[in-house]
Amino acid sequence: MSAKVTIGAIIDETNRPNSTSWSTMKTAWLMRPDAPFYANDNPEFLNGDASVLYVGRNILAEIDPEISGTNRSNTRRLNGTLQLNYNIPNIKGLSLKGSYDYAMELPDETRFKKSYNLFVYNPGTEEYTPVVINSPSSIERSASFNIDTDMQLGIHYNFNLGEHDVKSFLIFEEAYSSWDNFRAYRELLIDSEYLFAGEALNQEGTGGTPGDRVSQSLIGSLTYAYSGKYLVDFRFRYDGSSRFPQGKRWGFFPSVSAGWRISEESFMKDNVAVISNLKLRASYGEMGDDGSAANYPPVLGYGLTNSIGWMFGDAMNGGLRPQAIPNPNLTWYEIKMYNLGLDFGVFENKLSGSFELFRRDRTGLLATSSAVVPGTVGASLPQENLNADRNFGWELTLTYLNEFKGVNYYINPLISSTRSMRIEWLETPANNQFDHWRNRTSGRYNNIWWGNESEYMFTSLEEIRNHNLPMGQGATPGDWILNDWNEDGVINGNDEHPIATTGLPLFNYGINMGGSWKNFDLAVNFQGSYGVFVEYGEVLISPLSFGGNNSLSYFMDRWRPADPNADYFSTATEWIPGYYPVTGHDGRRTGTNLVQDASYIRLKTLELGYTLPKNLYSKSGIEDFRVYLSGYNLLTFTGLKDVDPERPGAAGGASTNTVDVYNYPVNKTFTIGASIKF
Amino acid sequence: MRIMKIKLLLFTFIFGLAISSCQELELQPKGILGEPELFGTAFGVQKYFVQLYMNLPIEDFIYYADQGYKPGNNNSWQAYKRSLAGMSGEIYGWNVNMFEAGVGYWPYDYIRIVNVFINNFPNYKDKYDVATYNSLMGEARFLRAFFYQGMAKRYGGVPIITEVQDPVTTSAEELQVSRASESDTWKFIYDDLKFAMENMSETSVSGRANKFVAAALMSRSMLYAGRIAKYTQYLGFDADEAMQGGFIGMDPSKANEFFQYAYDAGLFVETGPYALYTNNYPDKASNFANLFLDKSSSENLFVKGYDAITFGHCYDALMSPNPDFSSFIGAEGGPVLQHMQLYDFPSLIDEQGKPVRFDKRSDIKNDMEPRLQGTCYFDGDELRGKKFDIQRGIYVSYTGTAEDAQSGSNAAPINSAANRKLGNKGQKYNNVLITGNHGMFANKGGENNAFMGAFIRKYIDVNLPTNLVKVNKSSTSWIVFRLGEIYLNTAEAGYELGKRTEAFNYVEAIRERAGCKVTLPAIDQTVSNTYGYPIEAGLQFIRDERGRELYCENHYWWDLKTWRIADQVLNNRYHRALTCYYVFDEGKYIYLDEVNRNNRTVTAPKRAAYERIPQGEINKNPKLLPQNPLY
Repeated sequence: MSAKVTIGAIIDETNRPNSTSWSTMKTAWLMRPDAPFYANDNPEFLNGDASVLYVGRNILAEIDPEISGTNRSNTRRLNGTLQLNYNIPNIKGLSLKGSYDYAMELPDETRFKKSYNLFVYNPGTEEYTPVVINSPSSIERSASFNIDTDMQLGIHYNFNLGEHDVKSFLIFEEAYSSWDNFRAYRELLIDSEYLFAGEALNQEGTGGTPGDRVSQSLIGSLTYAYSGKYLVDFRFRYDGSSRFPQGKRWGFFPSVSAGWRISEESFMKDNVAVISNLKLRASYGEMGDDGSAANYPPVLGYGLTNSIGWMFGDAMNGGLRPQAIPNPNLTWYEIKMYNLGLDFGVFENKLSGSFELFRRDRTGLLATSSAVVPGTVGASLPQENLNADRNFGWELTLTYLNEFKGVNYYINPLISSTRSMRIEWLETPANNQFDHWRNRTSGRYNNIWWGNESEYMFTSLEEIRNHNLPMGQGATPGDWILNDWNEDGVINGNDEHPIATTGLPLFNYGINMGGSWKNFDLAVNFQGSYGVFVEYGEVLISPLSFGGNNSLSYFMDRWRPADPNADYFSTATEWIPGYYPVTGHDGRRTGTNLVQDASYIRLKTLELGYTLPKNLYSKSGIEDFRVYLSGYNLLTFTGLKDVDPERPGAAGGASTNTVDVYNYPVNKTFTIGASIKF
Repeated sequence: MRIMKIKLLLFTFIFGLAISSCQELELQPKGILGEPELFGTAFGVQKYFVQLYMNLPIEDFIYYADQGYKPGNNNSWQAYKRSLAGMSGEIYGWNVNMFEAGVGYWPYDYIRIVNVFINNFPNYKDKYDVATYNSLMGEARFLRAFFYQGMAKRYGGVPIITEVQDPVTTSAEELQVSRASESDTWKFIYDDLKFAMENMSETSVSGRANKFVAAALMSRSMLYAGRIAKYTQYLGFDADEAMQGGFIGMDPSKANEFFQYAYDAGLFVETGPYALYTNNYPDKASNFANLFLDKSSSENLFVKGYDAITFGHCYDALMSPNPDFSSFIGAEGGPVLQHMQLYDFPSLIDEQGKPVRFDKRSDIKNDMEPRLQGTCYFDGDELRGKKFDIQRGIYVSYTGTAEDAQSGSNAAPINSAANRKLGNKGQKYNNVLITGNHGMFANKGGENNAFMGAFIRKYIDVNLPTNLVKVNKSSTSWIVFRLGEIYLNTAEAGYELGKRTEAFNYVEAIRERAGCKVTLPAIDQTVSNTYGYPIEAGLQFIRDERGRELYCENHYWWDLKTWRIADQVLNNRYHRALTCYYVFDEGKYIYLDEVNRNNRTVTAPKRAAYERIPQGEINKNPKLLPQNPLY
């Protein structure tokens, strides 16, 4: 019998200035080159002149915590695990294992917002007029309490007899989580950053919604291998969750997998010696997921929420929100996974690889039937297990290893592709065939990007006037004409059709290469994506935004008259063509102009290392000494103009569909290092 | 062996301990309240009502003409880019598009919450004394009527639901309720409000309804119903299916019944402790402006408050220019000259048709109605320590009539580049600044530019310093009902009923407070047909008085709709601007009436009288057909 106790802790503290990096990056983008940081170039007075600074923000003040305040997060996670192991005497291979883990996470946050002055210089009176920013100063403190426990009790039995090899176990697991939090806020009129020094007027004290949940599972497994050639694995899970109503809490999910090492068969070994490894494997498994159910089984009642309020008298009163009508049949949703793989190796595994196909079907996804219940009922139907979707794809990996005159080298390309689609999805019935094709998603691929198609740019006013479709009043040369895709004589939303895919790329691929020679080693990794599209917004598509702030210089490549004072609408005017239309016209912001192909391949990492010869340091107790030079994101090849393909935009690719353009940009890094082993 | 046994025992003991401390899968939900806690005490009921108050269809600072109500969403700062005032032609703003089809407002989820209360509250009757019980029931019916009124003024007849339907056990057939007729819908609103008027308490804390607030809603709703009954016949929809079924429009004989309800409700409000705001007399301009800012005003019946911490709005940040008056985007719109000229307005042209010369730009206010000065900011007015400085350009000389300027067109000879100087901020002509500090700049659009020659003053919080005028930091309350509106409702309903003299008494009170030159004009009964149907000049005067008093309070759009003249008034109507020029060789200023620089117009189609019933709802319930006309 053995016992083991493990204690772990993670403690960290993060400090940042009291502003979001998003708003600081946005101010940095928009900062005009002629806007001075200091009023009258006097370093004692930070400039606050809103006529040149975007909404009067001075970025030097915003990034300095001494001036604008700090946000501090402290995380503390402590956990302790007790593990007990008992090998049953007299029965070889049979043992009992138990473990209990208790974890506590107690993060707390401080948001200290400081009020400060910027200054506007008045050359007439030579005075600096203060502009107050961020008033009033305030302090907000919040603390959360999260407790998680996990208990496992299991029986394990392994034995082998000759060619047979059996492993099995049966485990019972229970996990419990609970959470709670509160926060307090006060305004500060004196120079302090503590709550007790704050003012009682306008103070806030509130808490988030507490909650807890429990899940229990019984997991069993039996693996059988015969002579290293045939492998079979049976597994099951019987899961219960507190999130579902009584009677529907438990779900049974079995899975099975099998593998056959064909290369070990005598007919292979004897006849096809060049194949050193060939394995065929397949598996089918079921799993349950309770992730998107609400935290408690639905119950008739009302939840308190801060997002509802109304002023009675001088006080803002918080309100309630009714819970959905309960569904007594709410239960797990089921995931079925199918997998088929082939591993091979030839020429003594000099060339090896694997190919895999997979499909994951989910059924019983939660959906609310309000889609077909009239709005006059006024209530959402409860969540029901109605929807189904599917993800599927394949993956291919190859590796080639060889050696030539002392140089060992390898090449390892790989490529994978996935798609997802909705198998059954509850939606309001369509009005007509067009509505069905355009707007309904059941039975279709996900991630379809709908848009208009751009045809060509007008090159002259005559072309606009003689065009068979009406253009807007202010159309000039350089404007794009969109395709009247449905040929109805009008260019509008009905001409939208699939033009790209949203979300993650269709194909992801990479090539790892490297080698070593004597004491040198080199590792190169290329990574790329194909079939990924992005759309950008704000400063990347419109120059001089938000009333004349800084702008990217590539917008200079635009259609403009040769004489800047010429009349845009005169046929006599001479035009200089450009990539962008006339400034202020929308042409690069719709349809296939806005949605761009962000396929790329990148030299992601390159590392060159040298292991110092051992005789230089063997006496000093050092076992190994290697120095290396590495780079990250060194080269990028893409059709995207002027922007890094992995920078999230307004939509598509990795965007979160908020204004991502102001997030921290992608970096290129170079590192020099050494690794020393004692 | 003994040690083995002890170890085994120890293991089993710990195992057992662990098993017994197992959790149940049945957990009590934390943070959820049930019905007994909420309906059992008056405070619980108040908490229950908060979600209803918050979602009442009040078109206030955060209402988007194209997206609807946005209660509690602190990310919605663009309401004044897409405002109802912009759609109705009161303001020239960022977006002058017409959204007559509406946003599909269908608040049956809130109506259900009220119905749950109305149906279940009688179970708790024994916990309350009779007066409190009746008052709370009355308040619930007031809230329900408010939601139905929000729909009726948009769609006409709508399904009337008073029971709580259970979608899990009820058949699909029963769940599909058809539209009621328009007159039944307004009658239903009347019944609910009558109960509220009779049963609610007389006093309430600010922001909470009482019987006079219910009467105010009655006054407004019944006036709308009366207009709809009387004037829908002129829309020309008689052949339309919805009209023939009674789902829209009513028999004109019903008009007087509704006008009488409105009139009686108005008289009822007068018995309450309310009076027109006169605290800042004799300065009637400041008095009118202060009416909207003074939270203790005796004229307010019902307000929607903002505390700028949990919920704030952006009115100040988006109505006055940046950087002098706002620390956010800046002015998104300006008042339109056609509305400015509804008030007592100085003449811009003399007897010979030439523009009047002014010594100073702000002299135009000398003959201007104090109420207009309290509604708009003109050149020379002071706010937040700075003065408005508005001018469009310089004429080298101006020897012609006002007509010669051809409403500001570039093609007019007097507007040639040699004679008329326009410019950007800071540019000068012979050392004289071409434009004012706040507009009208040639290189900018309507944003942050005195595009219309003036800015809005109504509801601007003069106590908020510029550096605090930011997104969601305004805390002015929106006045939902005020006595001024009720007086005008009563005046219009009274006039329609033939009580012309009584009607004009109310008009007199309003005009006296406004500081008009003529407070009681003669009641002119001549009939004219300007907007598509015959109407007496006296009634038109009362309608214009509404346009003056309630300017930019999000009433005008509903007035145009219910008067059935939206397509007549907003018929390719150019927004006109009040432009000021300095005449260089005379050293004086002139004001011209120009069309807005972008030549934008606003047009409402005939179908703007009703909004479209949301198509998604028709898909789920075909009994909602027929759809409203021309959709």
